[in-house]
Amino acid sequence: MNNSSRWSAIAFACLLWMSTPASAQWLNVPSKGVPRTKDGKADLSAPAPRLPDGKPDLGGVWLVPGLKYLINIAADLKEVPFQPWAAAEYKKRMDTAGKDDPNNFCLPSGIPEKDAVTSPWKIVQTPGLIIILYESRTIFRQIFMDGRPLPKDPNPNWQGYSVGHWDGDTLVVETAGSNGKAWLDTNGHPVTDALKVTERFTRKDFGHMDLQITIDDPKAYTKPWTVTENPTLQPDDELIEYICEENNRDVGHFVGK
Amino acid sequence: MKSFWITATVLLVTSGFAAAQSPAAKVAAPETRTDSGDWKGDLTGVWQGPYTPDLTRGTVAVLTPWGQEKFSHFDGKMDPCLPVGVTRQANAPDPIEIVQTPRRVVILYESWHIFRSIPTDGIDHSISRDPTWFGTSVGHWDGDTLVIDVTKMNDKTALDTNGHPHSDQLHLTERLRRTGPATMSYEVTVDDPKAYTQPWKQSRVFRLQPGIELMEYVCLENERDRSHLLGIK
Repeated sequence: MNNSSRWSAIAFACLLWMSTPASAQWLNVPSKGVPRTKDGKADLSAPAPRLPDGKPDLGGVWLVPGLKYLINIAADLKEVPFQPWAAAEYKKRMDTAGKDDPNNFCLPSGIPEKDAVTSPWKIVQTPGLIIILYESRTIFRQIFMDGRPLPKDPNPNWQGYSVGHWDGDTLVVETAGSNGKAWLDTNGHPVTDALKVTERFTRKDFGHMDLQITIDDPKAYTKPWTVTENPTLQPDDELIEYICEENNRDVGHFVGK
Repeated sequence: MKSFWITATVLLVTSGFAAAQSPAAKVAAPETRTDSGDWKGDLTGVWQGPYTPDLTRGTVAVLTPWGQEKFSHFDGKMDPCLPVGVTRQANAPDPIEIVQTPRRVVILYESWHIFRSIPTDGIDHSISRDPTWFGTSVGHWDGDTLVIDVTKMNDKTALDTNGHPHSDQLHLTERLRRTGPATMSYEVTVDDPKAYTQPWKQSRVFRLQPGIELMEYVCLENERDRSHLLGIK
């Protein structure tokens, strides 16, 4: 990564990040059902809660701390198994400082970039359906839990089509049907319409989650690869409204080089 | 201006039909509900209401002089991808999905792919909120009716496609009640002393749409209307 593209990515990440502290500053709604220590603070190391049916309750406001995975989802990997064209595309996106990132134009980020954005997201869990509400863009995602398979010929779109099931205490979400336009991160790891994403959400205790993400896109990568992010609970917080298109002055200024 | 409304209507209706035709949407129909009454108080599901471009139809809404002035300047030239606000989301012909939990009701809108998250846990969530496009929604259950109070909306939207105005003093009260296995009544009361001489309300019926799933809706993708509507290049 050269310096200018790194700066571009960091500058963009900072733009996203600026909306987050505001919520932390002026929204302080005490969450019900949160275990507390003697001084009234949320006890984030208390046991993970469960629903009456025995399944883990993943409900709450979560955030992957830091910018690391938003900038480079493969930051922890020694090597990414690019197909040759994908390696060239990645280099091109880096060399042009990410000027064509769909995020720059308020287009949706895809799955799994959405997990790593610097605005929190909220899981709402019901028996047949889990929804994730993303503060970023005030956009939602549905994860069907009623046992349906992934559609054989889904309408390609930005977020794809997600179905989930439980593997013990881990929620396994499979997503397919990408239109291939979203980037995996602001550096620009590419995907195609062959993308299949598997996310494994494991709530380790009240305040901590392991999120293992497997990227399987044989058109872009020679073999599947896996990364792990660590969302943390944001107790006593709520999502705020986020309208990317409102007074957006960025378009035209992402010129690359 | 009329042509704009017709165009906007056609655009909205077109996306509504697209949802109905989605092959993915046919995957799983929810279980058939019998009329045993177990639907009472359960708003869960995908619903569709009638397209409502004129929120004042069939009711009496008297504008104040301030409201008349604002209404007279409405020319329909609104940025098509900015939020349209609470009432116009409900006016749209596209389906909505309601997800209900003990402490919260979430409404997912196909149009603009946007959500509202409505706490029903009795905590006062209205404190310290800045005005926003969708304002702050606080819900409670009145028997089997979900009552949602919406306040602190900005004044950048209109109440409907026809441009009925509102001010930043707008207070909406929405009442959602399941009235049958496949029907839900939706009533919205508009209380805005700056724009209207007295509160008024409008109601309609939403119908359950079994076997339908919401589709993705990305207003900004290949967006060609803005320059024509706003006269910008």
